[in-house]
Amino acid sequence: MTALQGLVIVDASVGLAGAMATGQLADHGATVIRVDPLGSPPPSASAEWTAFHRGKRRISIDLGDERGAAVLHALLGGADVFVRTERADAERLSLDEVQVRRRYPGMIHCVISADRAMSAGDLDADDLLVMARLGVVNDLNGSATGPISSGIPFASIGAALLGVIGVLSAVAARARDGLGRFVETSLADGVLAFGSMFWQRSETPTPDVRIPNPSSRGLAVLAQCSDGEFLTLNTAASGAHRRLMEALGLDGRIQPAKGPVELAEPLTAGESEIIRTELPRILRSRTREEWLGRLFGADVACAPVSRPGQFFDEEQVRINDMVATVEDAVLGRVDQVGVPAKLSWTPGRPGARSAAAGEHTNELLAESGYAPSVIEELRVAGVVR
Amino acid sequence: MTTQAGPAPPLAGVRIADFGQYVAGPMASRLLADLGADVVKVEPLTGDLMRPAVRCFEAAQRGKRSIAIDLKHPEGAAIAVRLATRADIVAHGMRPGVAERLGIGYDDIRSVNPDVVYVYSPGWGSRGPLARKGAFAPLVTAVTGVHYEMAGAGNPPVLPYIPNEDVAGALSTASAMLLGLAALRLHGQGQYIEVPQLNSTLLLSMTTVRLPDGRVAAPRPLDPDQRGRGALHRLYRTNDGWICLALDAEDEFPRLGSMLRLLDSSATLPPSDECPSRAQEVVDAVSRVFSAMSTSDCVAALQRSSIPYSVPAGSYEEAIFDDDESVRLGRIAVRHDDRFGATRAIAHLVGVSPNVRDDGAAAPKLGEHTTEILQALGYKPSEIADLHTRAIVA
Repeated sequence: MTALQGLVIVDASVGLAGAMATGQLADHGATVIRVDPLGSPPPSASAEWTAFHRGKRRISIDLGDERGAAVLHALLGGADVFVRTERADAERLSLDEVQVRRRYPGMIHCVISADRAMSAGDLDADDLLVMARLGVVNDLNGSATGPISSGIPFASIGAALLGVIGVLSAVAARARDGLGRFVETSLADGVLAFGSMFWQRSETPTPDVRIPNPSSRGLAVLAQCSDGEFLTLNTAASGAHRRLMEALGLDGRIQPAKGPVELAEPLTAGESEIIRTELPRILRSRTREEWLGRLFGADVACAPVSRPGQFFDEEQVRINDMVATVEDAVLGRVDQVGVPAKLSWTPGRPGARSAAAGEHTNELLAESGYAPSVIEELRVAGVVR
Repeated sequence: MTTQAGPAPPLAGVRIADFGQYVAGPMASRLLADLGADVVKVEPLTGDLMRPAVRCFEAAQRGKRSIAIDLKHPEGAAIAVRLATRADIVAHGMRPGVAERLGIGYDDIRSVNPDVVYVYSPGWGSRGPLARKGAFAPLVTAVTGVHYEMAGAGNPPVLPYIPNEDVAGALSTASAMLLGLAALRLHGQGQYIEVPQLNSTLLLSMTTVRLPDGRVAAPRPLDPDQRGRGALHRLYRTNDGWICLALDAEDEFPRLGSMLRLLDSSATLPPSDECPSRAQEVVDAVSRVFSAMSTSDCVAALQRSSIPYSVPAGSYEEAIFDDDESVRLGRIAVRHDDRFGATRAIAHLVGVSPNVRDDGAAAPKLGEHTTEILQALGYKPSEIADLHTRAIVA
């Protein structure tokens, strides 16, 4: 048994956020019917999306045609959850909050927009555009001066996970009271989630932990080694700073803390300068593998800075059962990121297959009561594929 | 926290006992507090180690109640067990074995609360060579490849402060808590759930796959200048600032082309921006034209050609805190703090009707609710006073 067994979700979203959100729910047993749009630019079929298609049943519909809209409503008639992105034609298609609530009283209706604080249509649900409007492009760490784009779509990822939280809380509540609910989040909320631990404003300013304090014994460092590879290390743990100084051969020049809480005893200005100049130089004197071995042995928290995809071979990733091997209809047998939450009684089950667009169109229409001749007509007319 | 009169928020009546420290685990239960859950934060007598990092602490703990207990004292552990007995969800992130030694492991709690949803969020994992090792930022993110992806093609890795493993952990752990709650209500049984921070942080890399021939297929990287990816999805300089545009698919490229020709009839473009050298030609052509125009003229040109765009705000400070609509949504919480004065912080990020309107709930002071929580657990006033005197609670 899976946690969300029996729950039926229609995903008519556009963009990564909705696909990722319903993908998380599919991993835990929900039946997800993915509605891909026809009549607008084709959905992304690239490898980027394969993990979000696993375990879903897929139908392609032209919602610009009223027969297509009718198909979507037929699917909604059998669904518990409806996930979509905000769209200008929602009212015309009877997909706005009021009409969905009227037609499907028990429905959990989740809408992901660009920014809940903006009027529909004023901003596209795109990570770069949203981060720019929030000023965050001027606030990312990088080597360029001026605003920069993010290498990770964390507005969409944040929105996806917030959507999961909203939908699951509504599912839990409905199990008690039988009521449908309207769930709203946005890419802007996704950005704010990631920034929330750093961004605050108060009359008396509070310390901004992003700015490293050079005299702190709590180091969080990214450094290059002799072989050109990079590692990270962190000395927040009790005694770690002293152990790091010993491992680097700096213990003669840096006084250890006197009391039990290292972080409460800052370095002197002279010591801070030694760390600033010597730490990078010393780390560059050996290979990464040597340093990781020495630091690991000295119980200083450290990790290699891996390149994209190297995590598939990382021992702990495999021990944690975080690689899912899935048959993709287009790409073949691929390795994807697995399911993060390990439930002991109702374990998640990532779908064995990532279907192609429209792979389940005929079955889904038949299950909704469409006769074979009608299905053929709809195909010929380009309303479904 | 108080709510509007009317139907209750979705997690009203859900009780959570959170024994976690720092950010990743605690922010998860704070997200559930936003949706109406009653969260009790159990702290050591000296307080959560994150308290001095005020902004992090606020983000991870707002909306909760705090009880301070010496868990190493048997009577302190007994309070913890009594609290967990009445909780729907129990959560922590202690090193493997520590909760069991304190008498609040899953088996301990399940024996008195069979339906408990017990959520354990260790750093690296509960098994394997890294199980007892510290999982601090930026180490976990480093393993996922994000440090290279944020840097731009061919550049050395950078250390991003966002996105990070703390918030990834929080969002994922919150989902895990709710999966457990949903399974309990739908199928009738609680369970033990483990959600290591390493697992949660890999969600940032979910768009990376490995193909059958062993090659890694990662999303197209950021260009080396970090302004974007190719010409269609990019920040461009104007003569008085910056603008960015985003066109989705290759077949929308003609829209950019026709806009360019309207602005500069001599502009010649390759038929697409598919290969890197062509992309650079297009970037250069657009850059040349935009850098000679004001931002507002660029906006007009993009609007005329129906190209999605955005004008970057100068900083998150100016864009986020004074937005009236964000305040109305409860997304920005406004309150008075007795240490720092008028304060604005990020609050509710997902609305589930009826929305829980923010009333300025703050992170609790250490032990702020110890007495009321002990009373609700059935301790008499004389017992509570005695526990305080003997420093078993604070």
